[in-house]
Amino acid sequence: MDTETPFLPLAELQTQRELSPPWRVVFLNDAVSRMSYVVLVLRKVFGFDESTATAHMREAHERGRTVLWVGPRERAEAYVFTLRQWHLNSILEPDEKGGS
Amino acid sequence: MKRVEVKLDLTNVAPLLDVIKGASDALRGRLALPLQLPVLDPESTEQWQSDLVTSQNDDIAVLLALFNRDFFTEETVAFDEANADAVIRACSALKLYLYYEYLSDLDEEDFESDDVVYDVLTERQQKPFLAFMFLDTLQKVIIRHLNDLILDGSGET
Repeated sequence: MDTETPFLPLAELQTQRELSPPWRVVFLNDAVSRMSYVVLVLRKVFGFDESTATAHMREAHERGRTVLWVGPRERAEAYVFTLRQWHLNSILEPDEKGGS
Repeated sequence: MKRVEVKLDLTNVAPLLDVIKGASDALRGRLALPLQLPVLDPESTEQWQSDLVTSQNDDIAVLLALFNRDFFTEETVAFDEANADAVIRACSALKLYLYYEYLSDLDEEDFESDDVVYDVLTERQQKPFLAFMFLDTLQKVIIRHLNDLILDGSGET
């Protein structure tokens, strides 16, 4: 009997992941989260240095949003989940440009 | 272990604890920051909602535990590696609730720059505003003194 395996070989799965479009983690500004809190959380979650975290915080404050990270969806979801545990308003969106 | 103790005035803080307890009760089954992620499928949305509510309420329980029977005799709360992350997250959750429930009609820029004039607040807004500012101050104190500890910690997130 001809059976089909539901599983993809590891190499093929890896290739599919590499070819899948990247996703953006976007932080949206809010009136409640203080600047020092946002900078701390961004440093803790993404490992940013202080100036990078501060630049993202300022961009969100001035433009309403900042793209924090671009990459595979699974990891982007994990980042958004963690930011939401810290009560920072963040969303996940496809990176239509295909890069950062 | 680095530890910060804060002495609080019971007369001023006790009425705010009623507001904070009320906010924590209101948040028992819901998120302070509603989950609006249309890119997630319904099953994932439900799982995230459940996990985030659990995480939020665990954090709030850590904050409320600071104001136990000892607090009412010693009037002191202490922050350290064991509770700093949870307390600052809980402060954020409760601040979001108080803001959107009572204070969202205030000018956003005044709010962000601490320029809200207390006298213009309605009676319904006054205690929630003071509770908001109290939580905000706790959060600032922890971040100012335990910043490195939070960044270096294992980050129970």
